[in-house]
Amino acid sequence: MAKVVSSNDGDLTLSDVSLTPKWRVFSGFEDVRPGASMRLNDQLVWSVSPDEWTVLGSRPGEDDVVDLTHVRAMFRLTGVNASRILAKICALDLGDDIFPEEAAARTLVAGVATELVRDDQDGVRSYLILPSRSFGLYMYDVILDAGGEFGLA
Amino acid sequence: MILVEEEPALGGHLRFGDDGDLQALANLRAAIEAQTAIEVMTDAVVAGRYDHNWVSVVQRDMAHVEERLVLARAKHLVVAAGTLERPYVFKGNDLPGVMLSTAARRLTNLYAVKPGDKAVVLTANQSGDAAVADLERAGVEIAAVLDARNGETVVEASGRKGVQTVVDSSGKRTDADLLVTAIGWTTSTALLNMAGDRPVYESRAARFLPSSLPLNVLATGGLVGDGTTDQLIEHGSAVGRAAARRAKTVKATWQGATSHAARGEIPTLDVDDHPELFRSTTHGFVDYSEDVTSKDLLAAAEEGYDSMELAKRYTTAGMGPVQGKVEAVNALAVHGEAIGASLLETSTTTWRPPYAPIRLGTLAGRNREPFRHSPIQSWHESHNAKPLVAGQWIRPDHYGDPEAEVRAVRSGVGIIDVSPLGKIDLRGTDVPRLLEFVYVNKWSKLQVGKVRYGVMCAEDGVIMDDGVTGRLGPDRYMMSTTSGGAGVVWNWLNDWLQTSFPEWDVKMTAVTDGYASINVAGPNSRELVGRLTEIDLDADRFGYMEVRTGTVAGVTDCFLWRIGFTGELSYEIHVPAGYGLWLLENLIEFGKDLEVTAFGVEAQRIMRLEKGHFIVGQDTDGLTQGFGVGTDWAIKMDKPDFAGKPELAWQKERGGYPRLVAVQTDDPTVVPPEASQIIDASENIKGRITSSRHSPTLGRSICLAQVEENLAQGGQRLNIRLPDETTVTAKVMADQAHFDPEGTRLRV
Repeated sequence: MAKVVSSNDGDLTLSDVSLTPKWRVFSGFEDVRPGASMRLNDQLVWSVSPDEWTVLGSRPGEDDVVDLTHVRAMFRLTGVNASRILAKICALDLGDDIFPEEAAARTLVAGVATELVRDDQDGVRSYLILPSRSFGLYMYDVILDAGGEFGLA
Repeated sequence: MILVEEEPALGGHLRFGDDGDLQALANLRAAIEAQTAIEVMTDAVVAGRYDHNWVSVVQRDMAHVEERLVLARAKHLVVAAGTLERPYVFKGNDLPGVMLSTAARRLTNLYAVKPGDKAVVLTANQSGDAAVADLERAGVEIAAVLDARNGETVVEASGRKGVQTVVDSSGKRTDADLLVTAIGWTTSTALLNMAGDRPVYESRAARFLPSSLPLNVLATGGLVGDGTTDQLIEHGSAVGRAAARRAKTVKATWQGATSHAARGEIPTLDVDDHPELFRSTTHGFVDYSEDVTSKDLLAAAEEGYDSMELAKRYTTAGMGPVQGKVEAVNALAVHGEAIGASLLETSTTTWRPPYAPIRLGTLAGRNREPFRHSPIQSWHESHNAKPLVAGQWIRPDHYGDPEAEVRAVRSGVGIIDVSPLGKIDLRGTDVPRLLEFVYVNKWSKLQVGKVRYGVMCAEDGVIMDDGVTGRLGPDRYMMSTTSGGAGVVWNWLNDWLQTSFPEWDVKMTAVTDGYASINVAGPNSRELVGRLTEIDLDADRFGYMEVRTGTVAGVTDCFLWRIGFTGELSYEIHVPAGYGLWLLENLIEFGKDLEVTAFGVEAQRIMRLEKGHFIVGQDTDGLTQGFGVGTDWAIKMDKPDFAGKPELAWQKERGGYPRLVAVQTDDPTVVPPEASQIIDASENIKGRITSSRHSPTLGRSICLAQVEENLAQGGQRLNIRLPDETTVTAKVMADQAHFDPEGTRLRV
């Protein structure tokens, strides 16, 4: 079950969606280029490096599939100010012309190697944040801390 | 686009201007608000401009944040920092009641504060003229207006606690409690200087003006010239458009376009004539924050400090909190007067970041130190584990009594959380070739279900990591690394695969965090693990250094391997991380009658030392090559190639390298601290203790040590120098293992 924290006025939400099934595959999604993501039926697929794809949702049918569900924590940060929160802890330019909807990257968030995917929800700015699982508590606290001034608590 | 404004509101001098100014300001603000792409930061200042327009913005007084630093990479930087009004140097210029024209206008027009009752105004420009009108409107009696454009000036202001009398250049004394001066402007060129500009002094306008700017830095407003409000707005608008055009060109270039759009025409802005006024015929303060007067500067020149750079450091003019913004030009003018040269014509001031003071705490930022928790950290915390900071990991050092934990493992069964152990999932037909290449030993014949220990060396032959790798399926392997080494090994493997062997079929996935790993160790470990799994643990069918996959405690997709860092029969169970706590609680529940005991890193370290297993980085260092640590048997020089082989070949041929040996002191109660030196009769250092502990199993102190080759034979006598400078005697052991050197306890 997703754990959700919201700002007072409901504009911002941070959800722990770590339990979503996540898979690593090495072929089968060549249309998704590094730096991009794509929605395919019940799956969200992205790539941040050549010949590797991360798949959210149902298990892909490829031969070599590594289950990443337990390897990565996953948080979803949604709200118009989501990028302003991330800007405090991530040096990546999250401007719309550099990191638009469907963009994906591997970057440092608060000093931790993290995959970041822009996956807007009903037209509202939203990011998936995937550090390694062991950094989950740290990352969750850091995002809450950064979001405090925007009412995330 | 970010608009950075040092004041609490946008508008600069328009905020305290006349009705026309206020209307122009309202229009400008409306235009900015209509642009959603503009982010306005007030109470903020660009403190520095660095290479490639990396700018630091100090932002203050926000609702939730007192002060913070915002870093931005500007494609183009438009500097419109304007001018600061310059104080006049004369006798009494520090008296309360002596005021700049902009200050007087700000007080009356912006804050509705009447700055005095009776004023003398010294004016050389429109600002002074406007101040006269503003003061009159505020009900201040104008006792005298001295027009510097006609050669009139102020000689002295005097009074007890504030201005009472003003003496002008004709010798006339006027009673007043307010003296307003408007004698000129200092351009705030700091950011332009930081961008490489060398502003030049324009004597006609009595101020510095920009000379040459890089393409990605533009300037507008009072910084570059004068004009009506409309002219200034027009210039600003043209500069803004040029910046946008240039930025678009830059973006197109980034995106691969080859066109080089025109630089865009930047209109010029004329400058108004302005008389040059710096110091009157009397002396007064030049640097208010450092209490430096014009007399001090003249005296400094008299004493031989005839260069501004020296005079500045001698008098400290410009070295206070204001950092030259207000006083630098006056100081240059006065010092030039003292040495008989117009310094303004020949020099420029150097501006270094930060332009505005920044708190050290702001520069440091939030204290964010990433830490890593195993999936069963909560259990450790609720069982009084003493935390051990191991790199980024927080691990249980012990649960109260590490020696008792050792005894529990050696006599029964114990469990330890080894989740931080690095784990890399390797798939593909060429995995054996990769293993052959990065490990010093042989891997091509590893059968499914088998595990092998391996040592990795860097290209200089220095040991970089060790661990076991198991073959889980025909084309599936699991590599483990040391707890701290996972990242290094990951990079190392990627490096080789991407640069030297891109054609190999190897798919790597870092899965360290995907598994909770619990090592079950001790003579009763088979009994305990057997209660939780259907996997056949029979000694004949699941031997030492073998691996199985299957279900443990009802959890599928587990693997467990039978290895023995502690020297006991042990099974390391790896379950998907989310089930870590479940597995741990099951082990405890099902091991109650076996008195299963949780043990920490300290107990594990004692047991591995009893067994003589080295730890990379503890018993080896940055110079320790593959041979000499007790694993020479593993280095297969007959392999065609592997990382570090040439250096290892040379090491072996050269000889004379230190050896890692087990050492026991003659007095079993003395535990030489780690790093104690091993010395010869002449007190030359011949080695050092790398690990030492009291062994609860043997009831005595035990050590590992690096010693020179000729001291490495079993039975060799050693002298160990302790930190208190006493020396104890010891001997080298025949085996590297202090306990169970034959390994019989592992193979039950």
